[in-house]
Amino acid sequence: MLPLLPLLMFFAQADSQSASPPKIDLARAKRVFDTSCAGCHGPEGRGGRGPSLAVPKLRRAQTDNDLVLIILNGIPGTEMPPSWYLGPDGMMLAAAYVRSLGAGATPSKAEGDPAKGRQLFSGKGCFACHSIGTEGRAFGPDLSDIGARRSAAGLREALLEPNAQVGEGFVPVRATTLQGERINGIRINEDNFTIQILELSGRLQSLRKAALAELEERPTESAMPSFKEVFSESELRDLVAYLSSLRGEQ
Amino acid sequence: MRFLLAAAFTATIVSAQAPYQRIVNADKEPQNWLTYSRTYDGGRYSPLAQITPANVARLKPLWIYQIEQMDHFETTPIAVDGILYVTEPPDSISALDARSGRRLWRYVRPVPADIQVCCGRVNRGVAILDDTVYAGTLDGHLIALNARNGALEWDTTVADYKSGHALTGAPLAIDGKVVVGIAGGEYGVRGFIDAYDAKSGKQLWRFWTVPGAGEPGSQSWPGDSWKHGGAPAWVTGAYDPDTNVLYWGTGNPGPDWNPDSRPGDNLYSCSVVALDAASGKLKWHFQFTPHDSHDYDATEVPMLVDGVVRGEPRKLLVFANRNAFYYVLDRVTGEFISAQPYAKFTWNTGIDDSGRPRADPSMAPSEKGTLVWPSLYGATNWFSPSYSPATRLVYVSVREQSSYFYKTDAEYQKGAPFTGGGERPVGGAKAYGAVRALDAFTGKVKWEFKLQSPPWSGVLATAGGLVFGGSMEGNFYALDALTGKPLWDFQTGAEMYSNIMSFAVDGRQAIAVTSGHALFVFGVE
Repeated sequence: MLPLLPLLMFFAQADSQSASPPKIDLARAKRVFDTSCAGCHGPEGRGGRGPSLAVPKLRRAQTDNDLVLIILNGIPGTEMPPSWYLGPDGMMLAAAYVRSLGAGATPSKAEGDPAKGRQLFSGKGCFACHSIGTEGRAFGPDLSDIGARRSAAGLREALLEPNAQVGEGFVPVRATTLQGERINGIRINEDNFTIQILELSGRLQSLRKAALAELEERPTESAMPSFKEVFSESELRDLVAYLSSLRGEQ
Repeated sequence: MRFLLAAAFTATIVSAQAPYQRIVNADKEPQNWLTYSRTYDGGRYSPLAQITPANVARLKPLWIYQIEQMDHFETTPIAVDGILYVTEPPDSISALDARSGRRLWRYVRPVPADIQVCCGRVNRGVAILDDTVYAGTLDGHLIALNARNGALEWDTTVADYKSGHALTGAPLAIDGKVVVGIAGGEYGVRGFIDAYDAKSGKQLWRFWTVPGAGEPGSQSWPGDSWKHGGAPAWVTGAYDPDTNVLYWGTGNPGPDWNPDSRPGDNLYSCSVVALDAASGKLKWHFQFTPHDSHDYDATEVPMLVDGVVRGEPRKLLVFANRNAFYYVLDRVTGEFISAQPYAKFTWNTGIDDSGRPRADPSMAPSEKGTLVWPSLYGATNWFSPSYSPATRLVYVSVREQSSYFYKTDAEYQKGAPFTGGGERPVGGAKAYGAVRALDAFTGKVKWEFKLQSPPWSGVLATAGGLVFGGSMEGNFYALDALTGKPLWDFQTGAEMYSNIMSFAVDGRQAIAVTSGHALFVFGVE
């Protein structure tokens, strides 16, 4: 059949009913983590495209049961996919390994100066595309809690090599109508017959595809330029320290 | 006198006489839709021709019926003389006035709290025979309801839901019998297809889709592996009334992704079986995917078509399989005639002259994950294809997507998932969908209409020269059946897990489709 999420609700229920935690083979647990989780969360879970898991407190998983449910179902609306395929044992092992990463961890210290980073963010025009809280423009991704979603290494990579990891929600598109009007912007939504494009000017364009002469989507390209030549090494550290401090509503 | 006329009118509204001969001769009453695929041959084709490429632009919603649950609404309505019978998730059956969409009755069945269904609390429809409506339930019962008021006539336990058995497909009602196939392939059930007496609910026969020890085919299951061998039969099959033979697809062997405990072909998993409807005895079988380890269920609808192959008239069974191949078989003998890929595949290196795939061992699920086309969900799935005798094309909703397939340990425990792994689909821009029109007799692609993402909606071809389909972005649309050119579309506002049908009431053709948690009925004003 087509195993979707309800299949593994069973495992989460079984977990919450168990009386005492089972003994965990950490070598096996590490193997599960390395093959299924490290790709995004980094080796040793110190973060990459996904957040670091080597932290004393996981924002979304206060309890072991929360953690298993996240592994089982993923986190809708984020890039964290469901991993039900690990099976009950595999999910328990992955959860146990993630817990072991946090056990000895201390809150990470940012290398740079967040206050300077904040000035750079504002001064270099980042608010022209990004929003933080009520500040800035909603053209690119909202960064209010980016520090909880991305590791410092991931943020650094996004600033230097924006095309390395492109979020699916922000595909650059270029369209030309049958009348010859050119439209450049970000794809907000799309179905088989229509597309909604946000232009950099802030104008929202809702178009029938049949009314377009040309539609080019660049899903592997970020609309953000590289800031490699813009920031010095110490400025980069400050900026990453600032972005890492953005944790949304606590 | 006026009172008497009113009474007579009411009587015609609530009467639903659907004897077997009416279903056999369904083409004589194209305004009705009397069985899951409209006709026993599985064709899902509507002979109604009022809605055409010339007027489809004027297609508008006539009414919308909303359900009260958040589960997927996958029913195919059965239409009988102005009444639609639908299943609603999780386990209700309703009769709707086809003119207005207003409910006439609803039977609500409580769902046990400890129900185990791998893939959602879904049900794909009812069957009707004479004055009785039949439905399977998530807790493994087959129930019979009075078509006039929804009163329960009988309730038979088909299998124990606590071991993961469930009934999600629409039953198939034939002469005096109701045929059902069991679901539960992710729970290590031993699959079967059953027939019950339509009047009493008494079991008439059972065909085990996994043979028991010592039975023919059992050598394909070492040791006790057959006991939890899967091969469920959760999608409604086809039936040839001339020969009284049932054709039914079967699903994956268990455990799904770790085949180590079951070396061998694992008969009759991932097969189509031809059964004598009188006895349930196997006449022949054809296994599409021997020793499957990718969950390539053959739980799609077989279609019975007659045609000329290599200059010879043949009675055929054609099958657009989840494993990405379109098969043409002789339905009298089960002889393999041809297999043609209709979507991207990497799990085999070709198909030999007997129809057996040369499986590629490097494509087997692994601990680290193996990238394979098609994905677990297949090149197609339960949602129905449609065959138009006018164009001689088979229309299929196609999923172009790959997955990483994982293998883990598997140990059977009653009522627990018995899968031995799973998959992580590769989504985003790399995955897409299509409606493809295949030459019914060769499987060659004649045209395609691309979709934004892999679909979960079937298609419906009509005599008006249209093909209707649905998308995961909520688009319900009509294509030109000859060219695939889009002619009309409507945004329904939800992902579409749907099968499409057509009926007519008061002489007006309507198209019915579920989307999200609603049934939409469209017509030309």
